[in-house]
Amino acid sequence: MVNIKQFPVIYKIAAFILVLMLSGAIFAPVIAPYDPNQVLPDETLQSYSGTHLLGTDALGRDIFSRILYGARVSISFAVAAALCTMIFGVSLGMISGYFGGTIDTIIQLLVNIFQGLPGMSMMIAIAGVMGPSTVSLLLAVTLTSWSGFSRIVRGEVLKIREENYIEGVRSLGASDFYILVHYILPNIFNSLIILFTVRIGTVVLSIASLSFLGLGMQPPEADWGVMINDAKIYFRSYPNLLLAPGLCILALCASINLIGDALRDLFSIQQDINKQYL
Amino acid sequence: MDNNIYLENVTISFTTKAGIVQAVNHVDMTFNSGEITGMIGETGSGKSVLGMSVLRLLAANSMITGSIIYKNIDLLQLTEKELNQIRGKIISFIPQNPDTAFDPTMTIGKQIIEGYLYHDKKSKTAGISHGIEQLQNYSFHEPKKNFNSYPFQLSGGMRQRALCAMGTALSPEWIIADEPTKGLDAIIRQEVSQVFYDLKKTTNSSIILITHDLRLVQRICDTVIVLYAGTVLEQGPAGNIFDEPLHPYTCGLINAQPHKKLLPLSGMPPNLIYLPAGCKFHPRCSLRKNICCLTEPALQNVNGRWVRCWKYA
Amino acid sequence: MNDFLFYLVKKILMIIPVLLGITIAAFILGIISPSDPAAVLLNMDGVSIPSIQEIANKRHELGLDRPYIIQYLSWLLQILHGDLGVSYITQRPIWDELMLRLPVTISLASFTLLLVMFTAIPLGVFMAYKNNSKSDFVLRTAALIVTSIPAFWLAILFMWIFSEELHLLPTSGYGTFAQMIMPSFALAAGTIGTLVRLQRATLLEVLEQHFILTAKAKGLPFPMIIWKHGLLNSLIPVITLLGNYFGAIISGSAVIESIFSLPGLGSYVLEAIRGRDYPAIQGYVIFTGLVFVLFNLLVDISYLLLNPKIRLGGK
Repeated sequence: MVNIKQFPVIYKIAAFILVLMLSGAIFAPVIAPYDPNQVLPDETLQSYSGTHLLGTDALGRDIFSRILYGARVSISFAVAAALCTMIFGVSLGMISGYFGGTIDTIIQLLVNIFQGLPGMSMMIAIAGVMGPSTVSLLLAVTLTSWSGFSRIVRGEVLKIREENYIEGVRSLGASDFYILVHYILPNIFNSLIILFTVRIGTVVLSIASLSFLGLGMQPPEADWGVMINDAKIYFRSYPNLLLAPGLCILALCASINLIGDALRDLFSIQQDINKQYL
Repeated sequence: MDNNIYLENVTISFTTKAGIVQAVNHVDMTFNSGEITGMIGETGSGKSVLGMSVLRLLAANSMITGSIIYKNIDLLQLTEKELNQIRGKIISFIPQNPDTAFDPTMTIGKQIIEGYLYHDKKSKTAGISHGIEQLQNYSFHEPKKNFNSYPFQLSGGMRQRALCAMGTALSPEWIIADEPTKGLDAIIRQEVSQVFYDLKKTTNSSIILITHDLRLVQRICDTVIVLYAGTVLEQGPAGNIFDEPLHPYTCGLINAQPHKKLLPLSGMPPNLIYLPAGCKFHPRCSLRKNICCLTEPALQNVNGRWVRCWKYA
Repeated sequence: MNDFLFYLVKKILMIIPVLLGITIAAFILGIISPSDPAAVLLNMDGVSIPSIQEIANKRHELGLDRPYIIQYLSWLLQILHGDLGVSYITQRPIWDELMLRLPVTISLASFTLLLVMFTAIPLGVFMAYKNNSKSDFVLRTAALIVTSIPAFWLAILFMWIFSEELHLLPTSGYGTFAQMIMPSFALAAGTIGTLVRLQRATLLEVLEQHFILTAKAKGLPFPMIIWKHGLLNSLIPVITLLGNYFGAIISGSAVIESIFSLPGLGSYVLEAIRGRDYPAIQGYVIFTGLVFVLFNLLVDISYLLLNPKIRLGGK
């Protein structure tokens, strides 16, 4: 088996940060000292102190609590959006790659069209027209990123489809659906996990950008993008309002990406070891 | 001082995730200058690895111990910079597989004279005319056009000849050719063997031919070295070895040829991570005795040849 | 030569469904938008409240009661004549307004792309050269962290450091070189991180190829091998992805434009969204889509030119 101890320190740090953030998000109601939306008009724009770990914003809300609740919003939405994209992209990719023929041509045409739409522009347009809501955001993210997924999945499926054991199982009477679920899916699982992980990171950034523009999560929701937008006006005198949410987005995204890298290394090592025994 | 290449106790291993691959084991060898020496063996015998090790062209996960002496210098001790003065210029290596040995984005001509321009600091025009001349020497009918062609525009046989043209552009003292006839059809194989034969006749280059093409070896080689699992099993003059092979493995190789008995050797070459004890060939040898399984024989001198077999000890 | 023309025509033909797809997407956006164009037009003066009958009449006049397919086709025809409709807010043709804004976004995006290429490619090559060394690992991790930085946050940070604290650069406006520096760097950061890693990985793969052994056997020093054989072969896959990166840059420019008050396409659509100017949003989608597709076509063509097999008509 692979020795976890051999992994570079940076991956362990990333895992640690990720776990920290997840716990912050999950246990926010327990850990947060204040209600994130509680306005304290006497304590506005304070710096770090004993009562307010990260200070307060222009409306006197505790930044630390808002960060914790923001983690909830960012992480849960990113996971949901990535899942949607995955389900859509993976199924279309599998169908396209496995069945080939007309269905493949049609789906590939769709993929080409959707890849021709510049991502952020489309997301802005969709969120702008439909108004910012969870549904419109999910739609925006899914529509702009499923095609990339689908393309990669299709490539993997094409490789596996030609293997001999698929032919063997089919001659034993297995239905296409059975083959897809029990043979194709497990073999592309590793790549899917990596894609999923990286996608979560991308979604976090996209949603933060949209929220910053006012097209994503709406104030007074304690989303990190929204917090940065709020801090925008005050950064000249109170830069600390800016630092906390930005660093959190950076830390979350970076640790997710590093974990993705670690997984890539892990799977390729396993593959190499397996190959030697052939 | 002679121009021979001496290998002394050379061992080459590769570190992989599955274990340490022992490609070459304590090999002592002399390549005589002025001759064409053929190194034959199955895939995995270590012949290509040995050939590449002379110029230290092996991958980063390789470990070489021992000495490779040329003109009183141990090539294994030279720095990369010093070695680059020898590569291509004094000792030249012609890699196998002409289809992938060329950079697909550069013309053949540029690649042929690349070393020539670098080592001899010649001008570009001098280089181009030298390159076209090389192509002419190697029977290219339209040398100017071929010079400016890309690798994909040439046929397989042409590419192999172009590789040879590249390897000899600086008239090196030694040429190591790795599998020059692999994958080529019979007519082109003829062409290529003629090329090497002519090389020996017209230049002063000594040649090491790494191949599993026994016909080629029989046709043009002076000395033959038989390699198996990184060990020399038999070595001697080509004529003697082909007329009267001594080692059971050599007999097997020769008899396996289509124009001989077409009798394949039983068994498979050993796993280079877990080599068998005793004589490395013993699992496949029909003449094996108890001692073969326990101790590896040393090279014995038999009638002017060297054989590693308990049969002759 | 024939091969090249063939590929060229094939590429051009392949854009057509994509362009159609963009128009369909923009059309659908128009349909799902919450406002009724008829009601908006009748309410233009801000005073009159149209009756249901008046709205229905106006809808018929505008052809909004026809089946969607017909509406789409006539709208498509309109677009092909360069008429993207009229903005709700300014009452001016959207096409004209977009054309005014286009140069700003294009110059920002081009500047950023050049920045990305001239930073990331050399860095990636350097990292491949120093593969497995400490500096390689540090740079690789740094690249990854850089891709995780939100561009808008970086932009504000830049503003704080370079404008507020150091008084070096202006924070807004378009026209001078100095005004482009912060926006481009903020926009470029993420893509630089991605491209660096890609360039490094691609070059490392190329260095595993057989022909690199050939070059080594000729006695060429390693840096020369990278320069003469590694670079071009590794640039080919990198260039094919440049199109994607440009798309990311163009769409990402929206946020940057709003922060630095650059009058480009991105800030246009954001204003349009605030003003519920749905035809303008549709126009933006078509415009950006078109720019993106055209740039990709350019990239594809340059790839065809780079690849000798296709340029000379291989077997």
